[in-house]
Amino acid sequence: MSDNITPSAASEGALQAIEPMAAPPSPMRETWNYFKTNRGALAGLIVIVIILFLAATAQWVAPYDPIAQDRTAFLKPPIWMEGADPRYFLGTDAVGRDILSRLIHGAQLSVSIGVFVVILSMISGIVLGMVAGYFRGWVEVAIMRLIDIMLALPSLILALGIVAILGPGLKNAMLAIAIVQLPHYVRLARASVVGELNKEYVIASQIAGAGHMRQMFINILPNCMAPLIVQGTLGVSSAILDAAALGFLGLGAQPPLPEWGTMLAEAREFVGSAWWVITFPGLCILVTVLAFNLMGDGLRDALDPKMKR
Amino acid sequence: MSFLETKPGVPLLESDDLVRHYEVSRGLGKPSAMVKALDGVSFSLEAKKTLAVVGESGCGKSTLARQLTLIEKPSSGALKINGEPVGNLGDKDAKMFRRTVQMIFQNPYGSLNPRKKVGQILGEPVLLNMDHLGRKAREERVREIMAKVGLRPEFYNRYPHMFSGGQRQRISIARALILEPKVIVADEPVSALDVSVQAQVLNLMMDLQEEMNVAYVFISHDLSVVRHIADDVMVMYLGRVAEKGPTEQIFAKPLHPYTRALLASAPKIDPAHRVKAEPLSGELPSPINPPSGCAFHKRCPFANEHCAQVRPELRNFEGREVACHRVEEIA
Repeated sequence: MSDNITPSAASEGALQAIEPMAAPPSPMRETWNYFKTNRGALAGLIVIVIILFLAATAQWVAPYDPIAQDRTAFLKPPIWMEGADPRYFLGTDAVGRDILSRLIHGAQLSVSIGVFVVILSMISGIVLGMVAGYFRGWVEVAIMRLIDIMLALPSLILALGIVAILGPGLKNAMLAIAIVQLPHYVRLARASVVGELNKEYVIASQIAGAGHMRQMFINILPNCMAPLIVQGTLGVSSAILDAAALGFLGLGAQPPLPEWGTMLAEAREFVGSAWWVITFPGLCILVTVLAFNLMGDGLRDALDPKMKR
Repeated sequence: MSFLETKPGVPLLESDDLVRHYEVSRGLGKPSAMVKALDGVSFSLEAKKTLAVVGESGCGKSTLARQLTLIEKPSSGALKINGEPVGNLGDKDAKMFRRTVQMIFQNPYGSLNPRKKVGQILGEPVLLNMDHLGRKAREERVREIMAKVGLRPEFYNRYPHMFSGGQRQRISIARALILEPKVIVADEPVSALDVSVQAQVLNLMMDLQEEMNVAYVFISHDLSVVRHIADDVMVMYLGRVAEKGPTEQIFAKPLHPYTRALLASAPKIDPAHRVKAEPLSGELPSPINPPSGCAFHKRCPFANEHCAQVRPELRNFEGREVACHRVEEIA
């Protein structure tokens, strides 16, 4: 190691300064290296990027207005089938609206539902879990028992109940789903905080005079984010699914909004006669949810040190 | 703030009969038990001196560190700095006290926040305690202390995971020193390091003691390290002081049977320096249910009836303090 001692450092108080070990890659870079070895996760990421692109550019990409009705083309099949209208690639629904356009605009809705719900429940979940894990005692008991009660109710029933109170509509549905998802974030945040709390760097900051707020949100929180990010990614898919379920039951997005679940509900009666009206929204939900789940799994493996070789 | 001024004849840090009991529940229906982690510890520390606290695991060393740094409030007893009791300090004064007592931790991997750069880690105490300093002045101060502990300036923007154990401990030392404290509590600061790096870190600590006039409370179980660095040694057993005195005297002639056993257990190269004593049998008794009388009597080769019944208090003997009934006979 002697060849690593630089003259400048050695002269300063005759202390030996040792070269740092071969600098490992930054945490972000390392995560990406693990992530990209997982093909399923990579495929999920690509699909998500495509969906995000379509959602962002829906106004320009979609060939038609999603709620414009063409009275000359009711229930036209997709173009590769007999009797198709060449203007409508995936056919039309019962009132003559272009299914492809509706699906693309639906992506916009679904993505914003997923993102909004996750942001809302993640922020409130982190705050609650953080407070519970940091202060312990009766605060923790109060918060965690409340969360346990929420977990004891089936999630869709709880969401239905909340929507029933607030009234149907996309906004209220999103709020309901955010509340339903809350317990996962609270529990995860609390568990990570309890784990971090006894580490010496927290005590060191305490001795330096750090207050509760600083400890919780500046010192501890960044070290607890890995599991929460994974849960957030998986949460997007379950939010989309729940929103679709609420939409299907008529409590989420209201017609004529092109939300995928609502589209399914509207097409229910044509299941036997016009399969395309119900198949394509269903496929969209499937593919999106699958993509988020695959990416979430990959992210979990990449962020969890125990999974690394 | 009178406690910041040194008064002649008054020790810098004084612990008077410090007690810390923990309540532990033993399951539903049973009464909770008391763990006497710290059961009446008194000592005083002069400026620029090093007091080593030694003893086996579970004897209360780390609990003592937690009391000295005000992480926990003692159950009873007083902690005085420059003769001023700490217990009745207000919030603001307690913050000032924090500045005068800082800590170095055992585990160099757990004691640095993995998500923060070295500059941020070292800047935090300054940010929190010297709010009059601007960003520039703060950085300057951090860079100054980094140079003092032998960290190169380009480390400022690096994360802790890029450093080896010895360098992390340097960062830890820099963090403890940046507020120019009077006392540093070092909880086994070198026990997690390689022997070659241990020496570097210890020498650094001793150099900095000269330069910055700090006193150390050096907690360790490594007796060779203690002999190297300490002026005084305090041997603890089950939350109480067994023996206390100047390092050279204690190493030359340990009086308490426990000190003897402890010294005998440390390997020595030179046979002439080896302390002859029977190896200890048994384990450290549970602090929930300590033995009657002298806590050590069940493992002590010299114990008699009296030891099993009456708890020995610390008393002066040959220039140091020993808590043993039979010290005259043993010596």
